[in-house]
Amino acid sequence: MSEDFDADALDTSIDDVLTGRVGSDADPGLLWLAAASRPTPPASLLARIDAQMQPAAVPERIPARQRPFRDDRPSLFLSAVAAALSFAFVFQAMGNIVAGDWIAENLGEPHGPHAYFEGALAMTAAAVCALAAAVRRSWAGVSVLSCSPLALSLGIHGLGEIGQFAAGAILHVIEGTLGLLLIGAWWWDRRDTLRRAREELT
Amino acid sequence: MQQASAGEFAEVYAEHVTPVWRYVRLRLPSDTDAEDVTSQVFERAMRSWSGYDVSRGRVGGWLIGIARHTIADWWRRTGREFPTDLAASGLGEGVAEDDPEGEVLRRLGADEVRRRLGVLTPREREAVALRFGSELNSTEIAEILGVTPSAARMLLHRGIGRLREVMGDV
Repeated sequence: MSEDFDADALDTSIDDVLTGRVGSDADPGLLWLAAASRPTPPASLLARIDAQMQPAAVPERIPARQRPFRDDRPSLFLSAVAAALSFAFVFQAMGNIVAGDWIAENLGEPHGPHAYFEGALAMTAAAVCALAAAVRRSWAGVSVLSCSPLALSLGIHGLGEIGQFAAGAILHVIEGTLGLLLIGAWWWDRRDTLRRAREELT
Repeated sequence: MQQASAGEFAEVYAEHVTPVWRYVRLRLPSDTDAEDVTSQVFERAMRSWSGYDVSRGRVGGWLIGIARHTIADWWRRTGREFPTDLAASGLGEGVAEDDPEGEVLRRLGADEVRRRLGVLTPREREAVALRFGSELNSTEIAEILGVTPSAARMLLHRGIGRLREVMGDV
């Protein structure tokens, strides 16, 4: 019980010492301990933590639609490939509409105007997707995902038309090649963008 | 959960860097180590700040909690690198064998206060460091150490009593 009382009294004395409410009869041991335990932090520590507290060196992520257009402009190569693939799709779509019977005749199959027309509409939609990569870099991923598989499939399919329908074979092989080039151009453009972003940070 | 805003951290840092550093300093042998660990404490605090729930207690206690973990990590990582020859200390008598922190502080403490704190038990040393370094009261110390305020005052009383014995005039 006496130790409890002493502990409480000591606690009060420590409070007095730490808050500076001490007289000439203050406990020298507590005064020494309080002074020795409370030096001023070194300036180097404060500078070090201040440096940590600066805003992160990584720039804030800006949504694509809020970025300036020039930052989102695709490379010339990517634009050219995307536009060429778009043109090839549109060319095929127009061919289906205006020369469907000629295509059918060369392939040795009956002409179905209805199927050819709806196929042309689908090809036009694919052409719009491909063209998106020529407008904004941030859209190129969607173009690659939607158009490259189609273009590659058409290219492989076109190999079977060699010796049977030369014009169709040429168009499909061109589409397949452009599909491959679109993947390459997108990857190349993305790699350059990431490298430039890293260089801007250092 | 009431979350803290990012802008408030600068104020928290300004208010608490000194008591946190003083506490860390009393628990580590050199000022350089204390600087490194304090810097890590605020780095960890900054990373966790968005998840800090202001309704769960005082920010000072939260920072001291981070400091205690960071110090424990430091001793776990660095403690075994120190030589363990107690005989060289001259202050080795009557100390717990399972207290490498105390042993290193006694032998290698950068100043008198840390060398003297090395003779205390780990709980006493922590209580004294929290009371004099961080200037926490016995209730706050009790919360951090998981004891009653009365037990925290007793730890301080015994710790300071032991310091008086080894110092003579303290």
